[in-house]
Amino acid sequence: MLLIHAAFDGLARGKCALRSAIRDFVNHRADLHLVHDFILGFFLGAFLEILLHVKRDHFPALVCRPGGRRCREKQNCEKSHASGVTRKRDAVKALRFTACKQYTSAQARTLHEITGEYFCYALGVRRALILTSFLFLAGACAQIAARASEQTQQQNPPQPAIPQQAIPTQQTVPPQNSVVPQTPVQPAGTLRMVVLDPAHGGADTGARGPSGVAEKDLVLDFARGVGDALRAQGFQVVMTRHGDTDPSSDDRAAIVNAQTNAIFISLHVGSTGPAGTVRTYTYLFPSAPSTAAASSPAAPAAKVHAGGTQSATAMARQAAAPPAGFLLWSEAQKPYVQQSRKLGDLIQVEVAQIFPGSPEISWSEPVYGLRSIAAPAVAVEISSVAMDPQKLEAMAPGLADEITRAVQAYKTIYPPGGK
Amino acid sequence: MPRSAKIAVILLVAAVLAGLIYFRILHHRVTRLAQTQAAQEQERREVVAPPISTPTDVTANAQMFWVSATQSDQLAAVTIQLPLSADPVERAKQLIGALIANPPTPAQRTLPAGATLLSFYILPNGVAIADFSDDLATETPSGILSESMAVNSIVQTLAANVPGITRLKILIHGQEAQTLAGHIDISGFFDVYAAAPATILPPAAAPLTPQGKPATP
Repeated sequence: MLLIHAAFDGLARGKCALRSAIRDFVNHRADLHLVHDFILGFFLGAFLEILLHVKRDHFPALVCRPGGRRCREKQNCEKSHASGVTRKRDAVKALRFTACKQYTSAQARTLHEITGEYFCYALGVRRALILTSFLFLAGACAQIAARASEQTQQQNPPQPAIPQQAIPTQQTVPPQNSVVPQTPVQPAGTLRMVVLDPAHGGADTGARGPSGVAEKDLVLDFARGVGDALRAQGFQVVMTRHGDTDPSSDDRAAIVNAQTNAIFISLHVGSTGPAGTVRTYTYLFPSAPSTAAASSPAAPAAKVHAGGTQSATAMARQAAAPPAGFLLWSEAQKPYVQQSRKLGDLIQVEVAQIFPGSPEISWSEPVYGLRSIAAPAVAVEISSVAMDPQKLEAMAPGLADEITRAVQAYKTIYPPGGK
Repeated sequence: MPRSAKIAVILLVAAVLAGLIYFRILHHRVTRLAQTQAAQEQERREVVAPPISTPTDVTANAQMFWVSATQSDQLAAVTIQLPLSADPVERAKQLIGALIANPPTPAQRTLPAGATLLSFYILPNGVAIADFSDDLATETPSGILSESMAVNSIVQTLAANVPGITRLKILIHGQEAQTLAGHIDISGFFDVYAAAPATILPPAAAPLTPQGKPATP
């Protein structure tokens, strides 16, 4: 059994290496989870079979059970035995079903040396093999079903039992120039929901540490911890992903934009920065291309385009002005910048207390994942994947507590109709 | 052992061996591909990014923005001697080239060593267009902090040393990109003029936070 454990351990390590190599090879362009799971399942089965066959002395010898199909074989064997067995295969078959007694491996070996008889595995071992195969199959089916369910959930996020008013209609990937309500009609509600966004996922691993740890796995654990802490304080929590999937930025934004009285917190682990520090970011809108192009008549759009500097998307964005009361999807965060900064500062003040070296206030940067969020939205980045994974994981409880404390504080200043 | 079991074992062993051999071939192929790409990139870089030298070059003090030597989450101004052209476009190329090639230490690097400035030009309204090779997107460490420091080091270095640039647009291989390396939005323009006052600081003594860069529109 130790050998089997060692084989499983080795395979688990090999699995990581194989996954990494395949992903590197295809340059992150395909989700090869199913393919590599099938390949690994095949290798796993092969190793298991080999181990059981080579180390068969570790298992009890044959037990013959009369009845059913075995009996027919036994009769056939007895018939062939009676007619004179010449081939070794027939002899083995005959002996297998006439020795209706269980021997230990040692006994079987001794009997084989004395009588020349052959002994095979006990039926229990065969059943264990079959059961193991079924378990692998069931596990694979469950995994596929879970992924399918998760993808469905991402496309149709769960609707909370709170009043829904002025919900944007976009539930799937919206086009860049689609719009969201600029000032939705809101009840004088209180902050009830927190949408947690574990960044990256699927083929997008995010930052990778020297130990091979991936940002996407770390942030999922962090998000689960933060979610538990928030639920304990009575908040509704929605995650943008629950497993190893990679919803687009727009899909993630659609989840929070469909809610009222909600805030958005995206979790990241960076590649750089002082170890063990945390920074909170809010969105800083860079100058709009339309503003830049329109600011000087000496720079007509055609000239910019001739230089190959502006994509068709950007040109279309300039042409499509949103209707009154609506915002471009790509600028949905604009009305919430100030609220986001308040939330960011509250979180940063809290985390700075337990993670020395962290800044005292939040920073503003054009973080792409925040720009289409029509709600107070922040990104929290932990430094960094270069740390020992165990030390990084040890930060999770403190981070969860401090974010929860900050969200509770933000709830008291949450403006009625804030989202 | 029954014959069928033996055949099964042999087939499985053969499959395992074939898998291992294929994995080795795959590994070699990936390694060779990476080496080929690196060699091609090196050759291309030698062609497209020769050392920039113009007749108007004058050795002058240039204020460069790299990662602070003492605080790895902040930028700091470092003054170095550089031959700088009087032409703003050539001057900007020289500065960005130095930003990539001459960080004081590897830990203070903000832009990946493999990145190349493919082209740079300034429109009459002061908007600068900087077109970088793919390496800027692929080799910049993933993260909000690392990406923001990469962008801010360019913006603040230009703001401190090249007058007349109001905004900066970053392209990757001639194309507009949504993000630098997955986090920082580079689909818009960065306000270089707004960053200029913040960059006039004592060299290395007063590190800047990345948030000192663009102004809210």
